[in-house]
Amino acid sequence: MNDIQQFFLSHLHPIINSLIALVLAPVIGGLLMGLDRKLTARMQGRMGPPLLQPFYDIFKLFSKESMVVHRPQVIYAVCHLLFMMLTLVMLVTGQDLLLTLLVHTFAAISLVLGGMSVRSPYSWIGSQRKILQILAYEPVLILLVLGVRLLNGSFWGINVLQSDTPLIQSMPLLFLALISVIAVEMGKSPFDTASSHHAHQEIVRGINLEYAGPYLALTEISHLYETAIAFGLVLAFWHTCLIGGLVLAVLVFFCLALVDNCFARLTPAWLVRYMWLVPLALALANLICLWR
Amino acid sequence: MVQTILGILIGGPIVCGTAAWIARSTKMRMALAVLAAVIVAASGLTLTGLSLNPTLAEGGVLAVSGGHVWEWIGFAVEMVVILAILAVAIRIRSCWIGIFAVAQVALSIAIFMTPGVHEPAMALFRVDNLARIMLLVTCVVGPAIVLFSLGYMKEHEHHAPPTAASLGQFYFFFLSFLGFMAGLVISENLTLFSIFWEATTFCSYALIGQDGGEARRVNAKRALLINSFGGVVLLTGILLLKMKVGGETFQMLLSHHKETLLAAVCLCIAAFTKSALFPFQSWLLGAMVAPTPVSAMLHAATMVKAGVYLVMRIVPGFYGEKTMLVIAFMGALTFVAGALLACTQSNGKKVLAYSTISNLGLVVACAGIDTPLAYAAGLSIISFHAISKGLLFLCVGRIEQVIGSRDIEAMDGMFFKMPFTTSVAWIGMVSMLLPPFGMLQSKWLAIEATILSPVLLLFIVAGSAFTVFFWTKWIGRIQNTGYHQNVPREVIPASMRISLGFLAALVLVTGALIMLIYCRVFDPMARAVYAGYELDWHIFDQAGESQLVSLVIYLTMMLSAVCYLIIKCRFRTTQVHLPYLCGENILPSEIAKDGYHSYDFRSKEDQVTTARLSSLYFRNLINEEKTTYFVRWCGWLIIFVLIGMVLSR
Repeated sequence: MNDIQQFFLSHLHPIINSLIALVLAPVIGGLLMGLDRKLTARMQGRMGPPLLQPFYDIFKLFSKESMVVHRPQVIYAVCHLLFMMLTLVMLVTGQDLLLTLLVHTFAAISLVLGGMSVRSPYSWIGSQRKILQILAYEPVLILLVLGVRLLNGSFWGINVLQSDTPLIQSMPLLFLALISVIAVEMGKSPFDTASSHHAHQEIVRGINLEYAGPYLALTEISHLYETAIAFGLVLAFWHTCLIGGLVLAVLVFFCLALVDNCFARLTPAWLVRYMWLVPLALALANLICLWR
Repeated sequence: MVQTILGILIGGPIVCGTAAWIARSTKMRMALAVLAAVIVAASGLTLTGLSLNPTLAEGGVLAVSGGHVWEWIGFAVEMVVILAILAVAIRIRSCWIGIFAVAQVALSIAIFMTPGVHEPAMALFRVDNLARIMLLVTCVVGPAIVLFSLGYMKEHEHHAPPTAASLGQFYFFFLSFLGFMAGLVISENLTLFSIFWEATTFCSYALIGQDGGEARRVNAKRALLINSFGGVVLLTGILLLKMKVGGETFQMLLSHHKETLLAAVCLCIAAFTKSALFPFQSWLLGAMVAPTPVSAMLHAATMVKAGVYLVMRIVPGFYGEKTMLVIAFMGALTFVAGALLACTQSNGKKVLAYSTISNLGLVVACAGIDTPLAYAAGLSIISFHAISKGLLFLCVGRIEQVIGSRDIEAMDGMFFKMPFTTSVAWIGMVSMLLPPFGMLQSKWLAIEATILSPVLLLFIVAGSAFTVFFWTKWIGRIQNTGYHQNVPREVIPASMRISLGFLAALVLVTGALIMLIYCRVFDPMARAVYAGYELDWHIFDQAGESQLVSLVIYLTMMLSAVCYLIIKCRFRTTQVHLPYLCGENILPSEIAKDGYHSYDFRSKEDQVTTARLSSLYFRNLINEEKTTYFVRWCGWLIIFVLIGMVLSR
């Protein structure tokens, strides 16, 4: 038993646990994003924005006038955020991982539907590419969950934390596959087909194009949650040792920033091909080893 | 009493249908159709209720038996149905259908002549757990479709080609279909079962060919051909069973599972033809030329469900047989191929057809995996798919009637043109792919169940990814803002409104109660079916525990709807802006003046350009014909492996 395990398995009520996570996750996510910008800037020889810039951005967006192109956009932005939060809650309370994954997919799909509800070619292109991304990474994630099931004999997240051996020990290849998935979800080059943080390779902000003001802020907050969830998963791969988990997280973080700065965007079809070849093959190879 | 209700359930729609055929006035015909819908719904629900009554039903199974005169009656009716098919074969001069019909005649005579074990009374019908579910599906979704058809066929008659058969004939086959399907799911005796089986085949032939014309004739003929082949295989299975164990009931088939494997495999192959699994998928795709209520009936409430019902009935009796895993492969192959091909289609009805095929494949895969969890998943797919798919077919039919196209890309700005139908269609589509609705719940259970078999798993995972892809594309398209915001709103006939509203409400209510339905209905059913076997119940128990989550998901959805309403109340129209189009937008005031579209913009040199959107279909990557050809041969291969495995034992 160590700190992380104790935090989750302590006798705190699951509701209190989830509330803590719901408050902490966007803060951690925002700090990570700020750090990411700083690191990227340093790699490019710039000073970069302050660490808290993501938070300033969001606060400013909230103070702007609310504008939409088509009203259903609003419901999808809200849905996206709520389901991202639900994903986090389900992870923290150690629910069935496969169901958690499906809820997470729902969150992604609501963003797509929001992008497709307006008659804007750019947001439409971004959405189509986002569906392709879901198509590309979902099988890998499902295989990851199945790997956990094979290892622990249960689909429940809580059983992962209760076991004494870290996941990384028996699922190294699945971990590598997960890194690709995180890169896609966080919109890192060369996987940033749906919408990009880099001004030079935009399809005019893709899927988020027609969101403005507070609604854009909602999608940004969801993104913070998504980032926090992704790194939470990385930590969970070495849950028996806090230092080990952090080392993994820092490594992944640095790798993602490096790759992001080294590559230009590639085509969506390439993305699907890559995801269905490399990470899926890695995941399968790992699963076959686990099949005793 | 039970016998009377059974008689009403099966005979009622047929009598009403016959009367509708004879009836002269349209009003009379409509009244008869409504009467038949009410009869089916009422007697079906009553029968279900009675079967739950412990004084009438022993161990949850309501059985009806009869004297030996039924053997003769059954044989005579079967002959009538098969000879009707033979007559059709001669009329349309189809050699193969004729050969199959003659083979069926020979087989049924052989079955009749084969001496059986003498029993004091013949088991005819029984209503058990599985039959109850199927009965509910038929008797709830079926009547809703009949109700929809009243409004639909009235308009359809105006546009129908002159070659179309009369509306009376349509209602005869349409209503009888329900009666036959109800009879099929509660038959215990296999001869009775095969009568209803052939009768549904015959009805589907007549209904697909309803509007006449070359394309419809070809497709109707294909449906009859493939299903006649299924009929031959079915009768072969029954003959084998009777020769081996001397009986022709499901009870005999399942209780002597050591000797009856070959017969069971024959029945399963017959089920594949009925359920349009690859390689037999072509008839269901062709069937979409029929009027929409027929498609809805074939896909949702009847016909294809008969096949998966048969598989679900047979397979648990053979727990532990390796052969069943081959059946699972058959299903998984169809699941992936159907979903993949659905991604490449822009024809709405074809997407629905492929998605039906794909889901039926998933049911068969679940049945073949042969564990309680998979069985529960299969049951829930059958029931929820019926509601959602029935709803979707009706919506697409209605949309086609109004906008004159079934192309997905033409379904633009639907919320402005047809608010009611589109909202209902949206609910239907969302229920096909998002939590907490039944379909996703079942897919989740199915994936958890496939953990026992690595290769199957890959199929199921890939298939579910494709499913998400094509549904999301379609939902995105129908809720897109269109060009014409000021078009006249649709006027929807009352019968359609009631039927669509009822099905949509059913989707929402079952979505909210999914946890209860799973824990109270599917869970105990799966437990009861697998009660006698030694197996690992661990995963199954755990799946039951996480059902609470679906309630939370539903509440979250409701919460976001509430948030939306709050925001919408505080909304002013001035906050709605035009999208970014890489140029100056045409303003609404200019549209009225110059006849521009509402989403035009000024591009290079002030030229007015229209912004166009279209979805990804991968037509350059996936060729429908080639893929179908390949998958069909894979399907045949699996069938040969299946038969080979049984014969070589």
